[in-house]
Amino acid sequence: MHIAAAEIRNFRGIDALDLDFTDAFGRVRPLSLLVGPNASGKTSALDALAIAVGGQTGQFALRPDWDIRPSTVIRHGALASTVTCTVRFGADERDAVRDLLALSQQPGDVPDVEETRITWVYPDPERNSRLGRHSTEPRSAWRLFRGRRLLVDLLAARLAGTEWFRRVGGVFTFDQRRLPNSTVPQDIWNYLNDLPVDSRCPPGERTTGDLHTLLRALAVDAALAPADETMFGEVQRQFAGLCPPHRWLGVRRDDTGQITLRFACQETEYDFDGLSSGQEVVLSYLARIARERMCQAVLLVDELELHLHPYWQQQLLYVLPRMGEDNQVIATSHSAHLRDLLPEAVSLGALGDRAREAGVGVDAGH
Amino acid sequence: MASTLVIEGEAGSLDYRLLHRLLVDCARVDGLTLRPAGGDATVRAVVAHLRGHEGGTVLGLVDRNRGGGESTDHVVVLARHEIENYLLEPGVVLAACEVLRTAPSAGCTPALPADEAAVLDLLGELAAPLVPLHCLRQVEALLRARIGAALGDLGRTSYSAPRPNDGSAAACLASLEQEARRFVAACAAAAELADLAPAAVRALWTPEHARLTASEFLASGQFLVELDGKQLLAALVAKLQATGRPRASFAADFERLLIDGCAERWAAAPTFFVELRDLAERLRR
Repeated sequence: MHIAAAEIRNFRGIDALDLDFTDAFGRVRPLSLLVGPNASGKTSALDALAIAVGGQTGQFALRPDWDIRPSTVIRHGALASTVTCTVRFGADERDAVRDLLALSQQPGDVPDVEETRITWVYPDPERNSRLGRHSTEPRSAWRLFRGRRLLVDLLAARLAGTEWFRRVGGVFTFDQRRLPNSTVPQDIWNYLNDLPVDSRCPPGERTTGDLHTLLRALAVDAALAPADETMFGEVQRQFAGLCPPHRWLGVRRDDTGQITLRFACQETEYDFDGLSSGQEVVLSYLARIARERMCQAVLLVDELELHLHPYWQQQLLYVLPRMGEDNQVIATSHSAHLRDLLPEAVSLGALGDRAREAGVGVDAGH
Repeated sequence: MASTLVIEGEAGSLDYRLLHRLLVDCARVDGLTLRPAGGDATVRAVVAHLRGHEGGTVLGLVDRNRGGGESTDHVVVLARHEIENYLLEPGVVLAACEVLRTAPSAGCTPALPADEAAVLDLLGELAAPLVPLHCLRQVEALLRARIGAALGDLGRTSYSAPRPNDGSAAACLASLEQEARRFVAACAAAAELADLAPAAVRALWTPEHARLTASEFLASGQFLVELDGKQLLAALVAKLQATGRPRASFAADFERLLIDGCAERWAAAPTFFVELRDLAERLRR
């Protein structure tokens, strides 16, 4: 799924904001950057997209520091907030959702339309949900948003394989804390924690916000399940490209029996504690995208440049949309450096360097 | 092993984006740092500096421009005029036109070329008006090279501020007088150069202009190698924009389409951008 356009009304500090995420040929851009100073509505715009589209996926987790209440959602002076998004689903994704519904033995029709509109209204006029009300057009299109949810349930029941992740999208948020909130399969969790690993391991996953655990799980998973080797190899490759001359060598069991991560700078090896905060941020992006098998998905990234040297910011700008498969990255930034790299960046306000801002500001309307 | 490629342009420039796409995404050169360093001379200087200070492979890549010199052990000269010339490969342009044809919002569906021959015709048509100026620049570069070779240090026409031995008035005046004498000597020597006589200039211009305007130059596609790719690309974008009412981001989006097309061409045609393939191999070592 990809978001082609959004209309945000009376949402937090935003009165009215129309966003167009397509290029001159009507194709959804792999990367859209919303640029503006502090308090210009960047994070609000991302939250609006997250709740409007992500809220319909059945998998959406709110930002931990965002408690949804009228005072934290509705613009001062207004009575309700509305977000309407135009969302596109490719033919293969539509087919995959149909197949997943059939595997789940759930009845229901999936419309054969590429473009749907989803509207989220807060508060719910019918008072059924504390998170507001979603409606789609055509009406049955809501099932298209649930493909990944269906897949996760089928995986837990061992009725589908992970290869399906390549065909169904979702919505993922990367908030400013950069915690790599992700999941680790139960058997890998056991392996890392020196617990028995056998067929009696309960299916399912453990959630973790600890980067060290996530990275070790990724590497061990690749070592134990060759099917995941490519994914791990891609993270290694992108890390080497983003942070040269540093490389992620993999994992090994040390003298005390612990599974430890090994990195190298030129010929010098080091472990997880030797990573800089910038490297940790880069790895948390890469590991999360790989671990959660983000494909055909919308990635909402708040303040892309956080903790990163301008060169790494620039590299990330090129690498992020190419991680996973056919993802759409919508990121915010108050970095003039990133804005200058992307002429089509959407300006939500001046950054202060007026001379250079003369030509910036495409397709954004307040 | 980490490697560094010093390139022309600046961060986010077309050079950077195309080379990142081809070397990192397509050729999969792991651990590569692309360092934009401005122009040709700066690239060469940065390569020389980094080779003395950094481990791993350090190479440079520069445009051929007009003449451009030959590749050295550490600096590779593009086979075409500049990086934009690769975006104008007929197969690449054709793939972009296919996207335009199926995108009503692009607003430029009429008269789009339908095959590579038609693309070549279109580009040739756009190139023809650029030929005289290209010829001028070619002959000018040749004249400058000859002046430089004939006059040596005197031939340096770029002005650098005189540097007196000290800040006294006498030293400054002496420095100015010395600089003035250098100019006088340079001008007198240049006036004696046979290459600068109008007839000699014409003798350089005429065969070059005849070569560039010969039908085979345009028909063979050689103009895509030699002509200024930036200008030709701008002419193509202007032509496509003129046929409809495209959005403000048309030029940047079209450029992105061409970069995508180059990536596809890279995978499909092993002879495309062959000097970059060689470079990728060297960076991997």
